Amino acid sequence: MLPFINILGFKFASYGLIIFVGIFIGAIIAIFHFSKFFDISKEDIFYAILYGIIGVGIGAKLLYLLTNIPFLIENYQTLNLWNTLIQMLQGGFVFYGGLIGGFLGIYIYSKQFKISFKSLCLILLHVVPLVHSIGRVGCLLAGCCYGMEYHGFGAITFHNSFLAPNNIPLFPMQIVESICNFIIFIILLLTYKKFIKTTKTIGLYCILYGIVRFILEFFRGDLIRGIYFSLSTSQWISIVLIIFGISLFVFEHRKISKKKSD
Amino acid sequence: MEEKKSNGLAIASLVLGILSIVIFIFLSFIGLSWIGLILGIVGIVLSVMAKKKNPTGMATAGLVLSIIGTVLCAMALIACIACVGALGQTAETTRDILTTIY
Repeated sequence: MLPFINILGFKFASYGLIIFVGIFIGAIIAIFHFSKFFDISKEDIFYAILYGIIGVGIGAKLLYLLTNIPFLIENYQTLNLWNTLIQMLQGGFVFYGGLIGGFLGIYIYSKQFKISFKSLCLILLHVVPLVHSIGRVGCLLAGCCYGMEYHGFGAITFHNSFLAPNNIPLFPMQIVESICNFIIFIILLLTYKKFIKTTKTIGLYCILYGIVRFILEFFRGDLIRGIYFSLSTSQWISIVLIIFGISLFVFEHRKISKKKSD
Repeated sequence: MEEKKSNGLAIASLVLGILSIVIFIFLSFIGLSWIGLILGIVGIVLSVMAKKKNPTGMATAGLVLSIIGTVLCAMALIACIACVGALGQTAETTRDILTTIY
């Protein structure tokens, strides 16, 4: 749709631009709104966000490179390895790798400067779906993460995309996932007063996003989705995420009722 | 001694921040933004460490410049060629993408 934007003669990838807009808005909400409920300074949250972003970049990229090792091994004789590595550095990120890397970055910050990891996670987790939601708009502009062929309401047709199939009406995957993520953000926002200091927030996010991702995967049309036993890799990860979320909910609920009975 | 160390970190972060911006301006056209990105990231980490030990103006300047350099280089670099959902991307797909684009 619009993979690159020219600003003052510099060529920016619209996906990168949109992602940073999302991170900026998310950081402002985390620093000025959610920080009030925890005993952590605004400065520490800002630094933790920086560490988290670095972790996201490294984690998403590392997992992407790891998944491409078979390709490099298979084709090392015919490829210019250096050029291929540079091209791989430029493109390709794995969301779940980014999620793990981001939390790892925050963990390193919390250990380095002795700040509660749980509190930092709880603050930042609230804005993850918002950033993700805005990021999907970037996907729409770049033309990646597109849906399957679809002729119903809201179908999107790309004409000059080098990623999505051109001139074929597609399911508006990016828009639907963006809206779903925004709804998750609203739900977390509505429940934060009830759950703010408990791991129920993490559980709620894992369950909601797991369900959304599991269902939406059926409508995706991009790439080969790594199917194992009729389900894509993302769907298997979503199942793990949902189970993890439910167990967190149950565990926290039992902890609270035990405290009350004591 | 501690102050000297944090001052060194602040200077290093300032230099790295400036370098990452310079690389973005002069070398992003030939696809070398990733060098600026790495320098910017190191600059951010060093400036945060410097600010935590001794919050000077130089450390703040290093942090700001490193963030600007990192963001600019990242925006020039991250094209979402395949922001795949999970480990679903295979060698076959990568080959297709690389041959389509390059």
